[in-house]
Amino acid sequence: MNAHRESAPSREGRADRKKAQWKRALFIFSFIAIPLLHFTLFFIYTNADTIFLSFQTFDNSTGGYKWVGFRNYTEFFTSFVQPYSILPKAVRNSIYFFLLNDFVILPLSFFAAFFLYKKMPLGNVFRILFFLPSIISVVVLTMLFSFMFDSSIGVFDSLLRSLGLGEHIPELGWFGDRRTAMPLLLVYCIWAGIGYNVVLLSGAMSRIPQEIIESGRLDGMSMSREMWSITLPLVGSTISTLLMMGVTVIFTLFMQPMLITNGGPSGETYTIALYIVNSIRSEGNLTMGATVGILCALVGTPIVILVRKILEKTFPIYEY
Amino acid sequence: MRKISILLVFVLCLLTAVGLIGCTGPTQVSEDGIVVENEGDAIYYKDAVSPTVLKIAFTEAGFGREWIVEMSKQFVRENHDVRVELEGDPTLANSLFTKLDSGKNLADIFVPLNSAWETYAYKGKLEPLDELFAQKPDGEDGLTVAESMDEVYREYCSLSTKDGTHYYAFPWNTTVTGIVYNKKMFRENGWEVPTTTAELKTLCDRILADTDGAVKPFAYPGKIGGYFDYIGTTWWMQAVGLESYQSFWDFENAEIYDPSQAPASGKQVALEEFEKFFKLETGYGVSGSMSKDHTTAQMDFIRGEAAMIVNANWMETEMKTSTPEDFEMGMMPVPFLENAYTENGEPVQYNYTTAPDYMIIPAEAAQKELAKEFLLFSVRADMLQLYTRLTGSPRPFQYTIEDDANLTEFTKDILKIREESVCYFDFSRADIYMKGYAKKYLNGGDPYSALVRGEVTPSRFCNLEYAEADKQWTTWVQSSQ
Amino acid sequence: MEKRSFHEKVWIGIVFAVFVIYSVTLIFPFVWCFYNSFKNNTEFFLDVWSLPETWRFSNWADSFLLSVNGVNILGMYGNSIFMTVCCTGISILMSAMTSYIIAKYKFPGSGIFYSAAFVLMMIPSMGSMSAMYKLYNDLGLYDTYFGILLGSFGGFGTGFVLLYGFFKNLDWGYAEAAQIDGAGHYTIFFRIMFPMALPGIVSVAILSAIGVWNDYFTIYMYAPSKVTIAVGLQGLVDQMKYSANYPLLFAVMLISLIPILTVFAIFQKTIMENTTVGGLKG
Repeated sequence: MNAHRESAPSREGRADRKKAQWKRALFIFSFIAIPLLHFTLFFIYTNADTIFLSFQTFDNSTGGYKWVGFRNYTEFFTSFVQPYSILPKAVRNSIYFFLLNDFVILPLSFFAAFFLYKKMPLGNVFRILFFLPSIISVVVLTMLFSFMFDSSIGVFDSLLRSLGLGEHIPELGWFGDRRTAMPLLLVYCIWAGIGYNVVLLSGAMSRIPQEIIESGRLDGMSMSREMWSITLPLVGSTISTLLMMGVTVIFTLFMQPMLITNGGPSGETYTIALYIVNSIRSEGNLTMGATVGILCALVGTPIVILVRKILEKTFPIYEY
Repeated sequence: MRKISILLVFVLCLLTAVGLIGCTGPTQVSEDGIVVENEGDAIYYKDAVSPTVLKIAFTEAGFGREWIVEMSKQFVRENHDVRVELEGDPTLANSLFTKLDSGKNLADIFVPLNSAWETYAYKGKLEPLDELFAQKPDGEDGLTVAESMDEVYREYCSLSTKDGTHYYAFPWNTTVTGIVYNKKMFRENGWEVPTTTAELKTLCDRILADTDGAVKPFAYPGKIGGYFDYIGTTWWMQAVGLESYQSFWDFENAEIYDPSQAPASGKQVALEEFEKFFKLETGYGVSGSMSKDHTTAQMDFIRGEAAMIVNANWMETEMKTSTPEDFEMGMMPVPFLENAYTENGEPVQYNYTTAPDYMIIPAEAAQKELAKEFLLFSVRADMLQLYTRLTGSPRPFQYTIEDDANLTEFTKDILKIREESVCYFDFSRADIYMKGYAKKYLNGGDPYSALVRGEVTPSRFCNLEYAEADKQWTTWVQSSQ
Repeated sequence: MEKRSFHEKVWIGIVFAVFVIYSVTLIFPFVWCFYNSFKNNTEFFLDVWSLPETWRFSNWADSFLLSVNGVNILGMYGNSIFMTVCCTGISILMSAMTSYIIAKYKFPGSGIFYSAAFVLMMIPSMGSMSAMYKLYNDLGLYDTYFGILLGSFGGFGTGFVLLYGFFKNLDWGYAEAAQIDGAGHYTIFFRIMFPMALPGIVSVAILSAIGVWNDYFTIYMYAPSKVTIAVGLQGLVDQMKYSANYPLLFAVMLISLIPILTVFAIFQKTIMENTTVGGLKG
């Protein structure tokens, strides 16, 4: 469906076809060469160590690294099953964030983008406003969010009190109470994350040819019909991409929990990536970080391939 | 549209060029010919001919840069052939280790906040400072650097590597921790500074009664367990004495976690004391403190919602721009436990210092000898004076701090506590600790938040630690090889 | 013109109300930052919600005088704009090229690129920082504009992944028609495909530009004298841990925000309006 069809008619001689193939190969090469070179240098070369590091440990007596085989890996797995380990929570939370991203934030963004696309009054103003959180550094945003929910100076608590719902405010603070810390963190992600997707989906929707819409309208198509049968399928490839990016969040999200709750209370909001960052920072443990990193790649690869296969079936590519 | 955007880009690129060329900061020249460019980027003698360059990269944090600029100016005054180039960076520790690993663009002296320098000493990236430690900054009649330094710092700065045992780090500053209190509020209400924990309890109840619960005894940053640990550890030391506390840090065997004997018995006593004041039910804490960080907790304190706050000597400098003129901040030493460790019948006052901030010289630095000269210079009596005067903070050396109009009441409190206490901070070079297996608190880190919430009791926590250590000790020893 | 049924109008009304509430929650923190930037820190700490008693401009004045490593705010702007425009331009061009090839041209091995890009996004890079730092130094690119620009020539990151979807959607029919007219591969790309994918490319470019604008780590680590707004702002935030001067922080933050918002407002109107891309030419 999407393959580039060789369009040299069979009448042409062999020589010409070969020439066409060479031209094609050259073209492909010219477009990929520089990025590939960049990739080799800046990624492969600088990360060559990581795999080796995961099989090593730092030896204080020699001031260098020594090989310890799979010890780091077995250690990681045993620490996983320790009674007070925060790793299971970290994995659980990482998955929560993925589910949130793909099944809450993305659908909400889609609806929002759709209504903006349908020329909602003040649509342009809304679009700029929704995009605001994406432009601001996450450090500042999380700081603002924490202020809003602070017990002494936060506006949210004052609001609740004035509505007579004061007893619902947790004594330990919104981020200090086990039951509210994680949910509130998820709320933050929704609040700050919608704009990014809206911009991309708006771009995709603006590409939909108007004739299809117009002819549908003539047939008496309602707005919801339009959304489900036309808009959604036609921006399918963008949605697939965003869904895939939502999967990578499992292994990379750490800034929000780090900045808002510091992984607390008592590890309640930890994620896998936060674990890696902390192990490097506080214990200077490059080797353990490398091990976990490699494990992430090993686990992540089949997940990515599987998700991609599912998405290809659910969202076939339409060319237009 | 396109034309406008191209024009816009062009104009802005022009501005960049102008911005970069036209604007360097102010240059000042003093009467004795010392030139200071842009608040310290370069400090040199105006008539110097090809001076040797000394590069110093320091953490530009709570103390700002005045102290090192003044020190450098004096150094240049006494050494006309030196040009000091300063680089201030609030997050120096983030890039320091990358730079050391790569060996490129090294300053001659790095001054970071506490971070793990030992790995780099092991790797041979740090210059040994033994000669420096043996020198006498104040002339023949004075003490050597090593003799003048607090003992615990001396031990900390030394390390056994493949090249032998040497000194690799140099102390920058020292801290004093404890309970910061609102002097004015205390005075107005007739409250007195408690010396024992029994008195502290009475005080807390009185604070609640006198103000009808409007003012709480304590504000605290619940998100950051470290602040609690200041008083927790001081109480631990009070319970068993310094020597016994130090024995914990030798990490000899799992028995160090056994709460039925010292040193862990002290840990349990300290945690029980902590519970008495900070468990949520006591009502002594400002509501919601468990989700606050140090800034919001400090805000509560400044606004008078609490009479005291667990903090350290940097609080005043940190809050300089936000504290109202008439606010009187004081620090009290941590009150004595009931059966505090005594020597000669008197309870010993301890103070838990935070892990040290330090200075190092890279092994591949360009001007190592000059760097050592500078460090020696910085601990001369007059320079130590200068430091404390400009930062309000002490350095861990022996020197008399003259009463100065520039020292605030708060600083005086701090200096007094330091003088009267035995100061100590935690560190250990045991493999099992450095590799992250045995820790100060096992099973997920410090128990303070759990204690506040009443999720665990001190005795249960300590017993679980012991069980865990007992089970795992041999594995840990093997894994840390 | 479309006539909307009553049912649809109700829906739009509800969604409109939700949007308004959401917008308020978004605007409010910025309004709060704005009026607080006129307080001095003492006043701020005493009551963070009140309006300032006297509207001081000192924080705004100080922000304009803010200088990091000898670069003042004007210079920081210049650096930020230069970096953002150039790095985004280069990286989008590269990403467009690579994603176009992978989306439209099959060759041995082309299948793995897309999945590989995602996997790569997930691997946290451990030892790479010091190796990268050393690389920059060894190539003589440390602390140069060129070095940073060179870093943007990668084509397999987020931009690649996003543009892949846009290119996949493009009907190859247009290209075939052009080929019959004798157009070569390059012509097809630059004259037909690229312009058609423009809305998608612009969206991705905007997002990429935001990333570059806000990125402080790259400059901090590899070109520290070319201070950008992000670096200056981050330095201030880091200092905040020790000196907590919030009103000043707000002023600096707003100064860095306002131009980018304006630019976005101007561009989004032009691009996001529904552009009808017609049918086959001719």
